[in-house]
This record gives sequence, structure tokens and C-alpha cells, in this order.
Amino acid sequence: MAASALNEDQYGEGSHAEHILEVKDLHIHYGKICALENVSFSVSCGHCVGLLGQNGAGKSTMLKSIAGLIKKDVSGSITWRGKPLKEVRKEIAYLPQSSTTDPLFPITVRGLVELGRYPHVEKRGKWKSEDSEIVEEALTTLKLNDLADRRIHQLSGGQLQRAQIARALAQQAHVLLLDEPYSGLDEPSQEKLGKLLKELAQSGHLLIVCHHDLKSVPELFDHVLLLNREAVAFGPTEETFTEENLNKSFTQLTGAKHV
Amino acid sequence: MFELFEHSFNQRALLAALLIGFSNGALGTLIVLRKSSLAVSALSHSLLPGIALSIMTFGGLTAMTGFFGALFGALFVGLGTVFISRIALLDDQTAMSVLYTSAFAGGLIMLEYLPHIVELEDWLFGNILGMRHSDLHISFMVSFVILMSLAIFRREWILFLFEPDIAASMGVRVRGLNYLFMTLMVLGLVTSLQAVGAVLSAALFITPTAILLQFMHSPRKLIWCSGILGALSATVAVVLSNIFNVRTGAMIILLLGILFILSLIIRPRKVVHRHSE
Repeated sequence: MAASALNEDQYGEGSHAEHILEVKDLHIHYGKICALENVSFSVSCGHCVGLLGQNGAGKSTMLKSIAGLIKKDVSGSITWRGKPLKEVRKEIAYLPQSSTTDPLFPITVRGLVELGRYPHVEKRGKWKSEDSEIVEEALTTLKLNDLADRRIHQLSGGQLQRAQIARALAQQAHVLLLDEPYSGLDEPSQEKLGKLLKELAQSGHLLIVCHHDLKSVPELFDHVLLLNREAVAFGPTEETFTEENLNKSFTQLTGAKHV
Repeated sequence: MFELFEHSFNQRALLAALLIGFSNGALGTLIVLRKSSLAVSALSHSLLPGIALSIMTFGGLTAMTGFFGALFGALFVGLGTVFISRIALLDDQTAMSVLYTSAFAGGLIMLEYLPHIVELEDWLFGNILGMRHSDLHISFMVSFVILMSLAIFRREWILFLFEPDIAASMGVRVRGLNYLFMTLMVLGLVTSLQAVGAVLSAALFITPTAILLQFMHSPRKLIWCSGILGALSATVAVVLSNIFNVRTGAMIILLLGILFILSLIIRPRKVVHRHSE
């Protein structure tokens, strides 16, 4: 049952439209330096969105702001299903770059996936058998059962990414925010991850992915958001990922822009 | 050997070793997994200037003035580090290094103006046998605060230690936990003063977890098992130090050091391969 979960639309037919992530007039500045300016877009569930732009264009900042990690010096609004982020935190999972994970941290794959249950367990204060079932289901979906009792330092980069995605599934998150998940992976692992993310989108999740390798964009994402401290273009990949937009997006950032 | 338990100061020493060993051993897991082992060593140096300042202010060294002096010194450096690293674009370690070395230098200069006080040696190298009822009460209260904080926020601590950004994205108050972590570390350090002294106090936190990390891979189990190992080692060391008539603080740390070496010898040595897809 769990393995087929990815092939089913988790919200039922036609309900994607109600599950919309909406970013309106987002401005973020670190001190006097502007990191993002006037970014607006909205996207519904069932899509895999690539966040593109050169270094310093604001990709990670954009992702962190949707994850609710940036609270100071932010104006504008981010809503999911029409509700502010604070109210829907457990529906959004953040997966940082794998290089930030300490490989020596004493935790098994199962332990890592169990962390995803925190927002659900936090309020009732008790771990229930239902939580264990959801964790096992996430492990099965990501084909991690054989690795469940391994410590994370014994995993390859691709396996660690899958474990982090299983954590997001255990969280029962609808939106997955992934920061450069493909970096450091060899080609076969990249292909597998790409296929997995597409399956997740088809099953009704919304995936927002920071990415820097332009060659693989049409293959990996159905939508793209091109950033250059402001939103250069947003839309379906075939319409938006054009040379003209890329030129606008990848023109030299002219030093630090001050507010 | 059983005569050892007949004297009330020995009973107090055993109880103190049990309490301090357990709470500091358990808290030590947080310190090791937060990669703050060196920070706790640095922080222990900040106790000296605190005690020196206290002697200067109150004109003598008692359990209370020593405790609050050490607490002040450690809080000054500990919370100052969190504050400075936030406002000055410096990492924790740099901010702490600047603060604790400056404070330690201040302490050394203050000592020049103080008469030689024998008790100061107890605070530097520990004297668990000299613990009074009032000292035991302080240890009990601090241990209670540490253990309650570990138990109440048990899930939050693990997320916070694993990846603060993931924790924050799930609604964990990371900044609050950071301040609580620093405060607990300081409280633990101050109570361990009389057991092992300022110079060796860091080891009571770090070594039990360092030993168990060779065998365990669950942060939750590590916390409580480190507490048990800390308590056992400290009480056994009190007995051994009585038998061999040596300084108890040094015996606690030496025993833990020997156990650490043993753990390296008997740890399971699986060949670790990174498994490809």
C-alpha cells in the first residue's frame, strides 16, 4: 500500500487548486543589503518547481523564507492554502543541503525519519503506534527498509537525500523545499532522485528545488522561477526557460544592492 | 572499606558524586553533539575570574560567594558569547575565545591583589569530601533544573542538535534553546567545581558521552546512559580515592579517561563502507 502511495493523488481529483502557495510582494534585506525584492508568484500542488539563478540571486533566501526561517527584515506575505506560514508549519518540510548534515551524528535512518513526526507528536506529547506506522510507511515508500537501522554516516549521498525525503513524508508535509539536492550526486543517483521527485509531484506534493545545473532543468522541473534578486520570470518550463529570460537572470549582479 | 560510608562527609561526597555525575554526564551529550566540547573547556576558565571577583567583592570565599562568583564569570562569558556572535558577525568560538581569555587575564590580575586563600585551590582542583549540606542543596537544585530541562524538551533537543534549520522550520524555538543550552552548561560547570574543580570540570561532561558514542546510535539513549555512566564513575572514584588517599576530582577524571581508552579497545569495529545506490 505504501509503495503505491506516490501514484495516488493525495488530495483527490481537482483539489490541487485549493492547495496554493502564494508569495506576494516579498522583500528581504540582510541589514542594508537587499537579498530579494518584490517577488510574487503562486503555484499549486502537483508541481516540481526549479529555483534558478546565479550565486547570490536569492535562491536559498527564497527557500528559507518559505520554510519560515527568515523572520527579520521581511515584508510581504507568504501563504499556503490561504493561511500564514505559522499556522501550516507541519505541512511544509525543509531539506537543507546534505553538506550541512553532520555525518557523525549518532542517528539511524529510522531515527532520522522519526524526527519528521515532531510537529505531530509535539502537541499531544506522546508517541503513538500510528506514528511508528507512518514512519515505516515512509521508509517503505522510499525503499529504505533495508537501510533503516544503518547510521547515516554509512549512507551514500543519494541514500541520505532519500532518508531526508522520507522524513518529510513522515511529517506528512505537502510542500517539500529542497536546497540543491542534486549537488554531489553521481549521474545515476541524480536520475533516480529526479524520477522520485517527479513521482512525488504526481502524487500531489509541491516541490520547490534550488538548482544550479541549467542543462538538466527541462528534464527535472515542470515550472521554473528565475531569480536575480527579483523574480525575472515564473511559469511552465517550456515557456519560461528561454534564452531571453536566462540572459536577464544571469546578467552580472551589480554589487550589493542597498535599500 | 565500609567505614567509608559511616562518615557523614563521605556520604555527602557519594551523594554529590551521584547527582553531579548523572546530571553533568547527561548534559554532556548535548555538549558533545553540539560540538561544544572545546567551548565547555573555555567556559571552565571563566570560573576563575568570577571567583576572584567574588572574593574581592565579599572579602572572603564561602560556598555561596564561590558559587555566585563562578556563576557570574561563566554566565558573563557564556551568554556574552551568544550575544556577541549575534551582533558582531563572529562565530561562537571566536567570540568565546576573546571573552574567556580576556576574563581569565582579568582574573589573574585580580589574584595578584588577593591574599593566598587555601579554599581557592579546592575550587580549582575540587574537594568533594569538603562538601557541606548547603553545597549539596545547591547541587541538588542545579541537577534538578538540568534533568528537568533535558526531559521536558527531549524531542526539541534532538532536532536542535541534528540540524537547527530543520528544527526551526518545524517550529522549535532555536534561539531560546540556544540560551537555555548555554545556561545549563554554565550551571553544570559551577556545580562540578567542588567535585572535580574548574581545571578538570569539562571532562566530567564530555568523557561519558565520548565513551558511549563508540557503542550507541540513539541520541535519546546516549543522554540517559551518559548520565548513568557519569554517576557510576564519579561514585566509584570517590571510593577509590578514599582507598588510595588521592584527590577525588583527579580520580574521577582519570577513571573516565581509562574507561575511554578501554572503550576504544573493545568498541565494535565494523568496516564502514558507504553503500552505493
